[in-house]
Amino acid sequence: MAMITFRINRYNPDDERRGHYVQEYALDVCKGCTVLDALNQIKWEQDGSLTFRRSCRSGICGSCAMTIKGVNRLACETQVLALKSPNVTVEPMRGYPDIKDLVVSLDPLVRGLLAVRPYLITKTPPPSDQERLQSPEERARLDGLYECILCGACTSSCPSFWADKEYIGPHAFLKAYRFVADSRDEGSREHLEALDDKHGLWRCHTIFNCVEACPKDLNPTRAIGELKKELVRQRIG
Amino acid sequence: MTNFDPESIHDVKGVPVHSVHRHDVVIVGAGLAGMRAAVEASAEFDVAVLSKVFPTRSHSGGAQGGIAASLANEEEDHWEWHMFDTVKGSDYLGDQDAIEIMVKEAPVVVREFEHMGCPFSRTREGRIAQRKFGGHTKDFGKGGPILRACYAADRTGHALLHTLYEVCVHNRVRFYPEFFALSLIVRDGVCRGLVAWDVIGGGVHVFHAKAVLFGTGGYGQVYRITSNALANSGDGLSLSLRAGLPLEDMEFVQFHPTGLYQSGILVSEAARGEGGYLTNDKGERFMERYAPQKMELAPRDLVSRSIQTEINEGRGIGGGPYVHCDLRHLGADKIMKLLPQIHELAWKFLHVDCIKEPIPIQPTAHYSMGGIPVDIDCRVLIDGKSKPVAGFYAAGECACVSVHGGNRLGTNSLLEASLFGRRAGKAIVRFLRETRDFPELPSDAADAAIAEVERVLSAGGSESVGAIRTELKDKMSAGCGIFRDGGKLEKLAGELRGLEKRFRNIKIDDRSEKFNYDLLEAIELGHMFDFVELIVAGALKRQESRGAHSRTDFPDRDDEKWLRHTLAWKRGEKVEFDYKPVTITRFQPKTRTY
Amino acid sequence: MQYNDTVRSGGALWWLLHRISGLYLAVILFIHVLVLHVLTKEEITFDVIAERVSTPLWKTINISFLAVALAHGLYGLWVILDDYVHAGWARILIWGVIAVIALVFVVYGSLTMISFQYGG
Repeated sequence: MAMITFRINRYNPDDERRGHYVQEYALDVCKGCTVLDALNQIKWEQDGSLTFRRSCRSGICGSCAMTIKGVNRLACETQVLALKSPNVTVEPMRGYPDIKDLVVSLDPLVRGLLAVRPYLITKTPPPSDQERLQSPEERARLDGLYECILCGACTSSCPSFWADKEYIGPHAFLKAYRFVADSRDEGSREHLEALDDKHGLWRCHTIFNCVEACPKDLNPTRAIGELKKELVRQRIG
Repeated sequence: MTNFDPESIHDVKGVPVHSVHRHDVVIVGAGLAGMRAAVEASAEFDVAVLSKVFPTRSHSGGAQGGIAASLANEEEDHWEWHMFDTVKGSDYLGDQDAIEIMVKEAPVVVREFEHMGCPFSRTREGRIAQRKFGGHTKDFGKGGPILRACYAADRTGHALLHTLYEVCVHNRVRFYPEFFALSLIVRDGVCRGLVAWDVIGGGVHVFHAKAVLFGTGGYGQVYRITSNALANSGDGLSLSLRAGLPLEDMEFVQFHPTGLYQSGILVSEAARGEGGYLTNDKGERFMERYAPQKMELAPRDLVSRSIQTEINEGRGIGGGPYVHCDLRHLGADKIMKLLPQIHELAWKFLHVDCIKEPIPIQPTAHYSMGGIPVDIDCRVLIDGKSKPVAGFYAAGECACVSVHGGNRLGTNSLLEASLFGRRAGKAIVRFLRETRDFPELPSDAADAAIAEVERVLSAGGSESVGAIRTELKDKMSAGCGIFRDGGKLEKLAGELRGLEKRFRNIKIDDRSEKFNYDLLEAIELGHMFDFVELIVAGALKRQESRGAHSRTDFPDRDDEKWLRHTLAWKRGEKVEFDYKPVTITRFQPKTRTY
Repeated sequence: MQYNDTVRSGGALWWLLHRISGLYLAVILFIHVLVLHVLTKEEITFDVIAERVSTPLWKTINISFLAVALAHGLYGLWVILDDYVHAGWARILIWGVIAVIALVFVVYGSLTMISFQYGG
């Protein structure tokens, strides 16, 4: 057990004049307690107005991405004691419009995602009563791509996104490459169309923040590199 | 496609006109069932999907191990074998007409997922890979475990959920993310839409529809140790009850054998399917005593009871309330390739490296076999038996077809959700082709919902919602868990009534309209009180042990009296019961051993 | 999504040229270091350098080095400014200034190189 002070960045949309402010909550934290457990305990026992998104508690739904001690993480899989600090600052993820307390708008995330036509595009109809064949090697190319949970941690950490709110974002590039790399997909031109743009791929300056931010240890920068090469092949041959 | 015409919309008291929406179909829940139905219906009609969380946050994504289908990609398999396993797994309470449909259509549904782009793991030949799972066997139970569960590593639910979302995006399904359903509008046996709360912006919205589908999922959150998401509060069940409709077989709650110790987070059955052992304090593979043939791959109800018995008899690790799931002998390669997520979860939540150490696990509330009674086309039945509510459908965990009977087999839930979601979509399309006009929307449609929100926002009592919910969960785990008995259930029923009384005197800290989870959690707790009473009352009534319902005072199955489904209504303060027979076609009830 | 096309940046060709120019600079720099600091055995004096620079081969190398370095560096500068400058007029202005700088230096440097003579 250890007494931890949580410094939480709060914001109430009904009180614009006050704007953002920091509120402190002290909590006795035991081994194994995650930041989400702590936030829940604060909400349920100290202050019901503290607002944050959460759902699965197990790092698969992507709801509880927030900035904890300056780093974008999933609150549900961050152990409080592993942060090794008596003070833990918790803020909403940067770059997205604020909604309330730790909750941000996901609209930029969705807009970027939709731009890459995030679905399998095929031209040849599939066999009627069989699956399409895909070798284990072809399937292995999707590992590290399909696991994205759309938590938004990467795009929020990206300086290109901070500079350009219409930047499509590393999460969407990862998704685009998930399809471009799929042996079954026949629409790489369509996936790439929106990426060859001022708000697209060329805005990535290979800063690697997205890689560091990803709670699922995925590598959007690598995907972006592959997509750039693919675009060059398509445009220049 | 219907063109939106604000002029044609009825006035709904207390709701601004711009907050009245009209769609041919309104689906509540963006999990596998809801989105699979949306994919089906959106080809022809205007479909809206409401979800209390962003669609890809739905809890279907938490499913890990696989989706069952007798594809026979890895070895000989037949739908008849799958059917036998499902019937036996259900402890003969499953309706065999529905089960037959499910196992026959399963290969089609799985292959369609592949065609949509789901990244299934593959065999050497490039076909969808399949693995072993508990209760799935060869040759009508005579052979060993069979390779039937189609998987995408141990992220099958995630892969399926995201694939469906992608297809919905392609089909231009209209999503209303972070809309929380408040009430269902059913009048004179006709469903006319529903009322919902806009979580982000605040405000009551009315959805006027020709058809409504519930794919609202389960309610694991009424138990202390659960694999379920915090969002899984059984809202759809309560909304259905409040519309005067019954619930079926609510006493059957599945406890998954392997939840991570303390958090209850799921460790997929794939861990055992790939060869993991369960061991107690003495290091014994104790399943030898309970299921000598199928061992760790016996069905979940049996394995959970075995673990709980070991714990109760003091053979938990160090005498504590958990045992070990040991994967070490599988080796690092197999673990990282086939069970990467389990490795990640055990590390992140218990700091256990399952390549080097066994994982501490305990049974965890996982799945609801019961739910809203529906027919094989997912039409909700007003009497629970044969009479459908016009325009109201339910599919997935919130519904009870019943294909799982007293106990669900692993990988049959992803199958049921997507397969019956698809059937519901097709049934809705047929219904809409015959239904040209929107049903009339009563002007007081939103009254109950508005009153509920206002009551919570102005609550001036002294009781904390969090504290009451914690007590409810603790009491449900203690009194209505894996093992039940009459005395404990009666006591629990009384305690729940006391808690509900306290719930009427809650306080609230956040009275704003925008993104108010304080409000939502209070409403969700109200939903929980609606149906936990039915779980307990149903468990008390059913004086036998069958599937996941295990009464220590009635340890045997009693087909004479209890080979029938429970139907329960809430009428005022009272719970009313009715029963209906089980449909038996191919397999007569037999003693169930593994 | 809106697309602001005022002085459209990027594109596959620019990205590719940026990489190729970077590679070219790396090669030239390597040759520069090799020739000057490894292969040149005598003491480095004005005469030694001036003699070498006055040959046609080194004139070509140096002019191309100047042009490619300017293009590479100024394009890199533009890529960074591009993130933060959104107003159409400012973008045109910056693009113009960059183009003028590039042109002036390339012309001035080339003239200096071409006209450079030493000894004989």
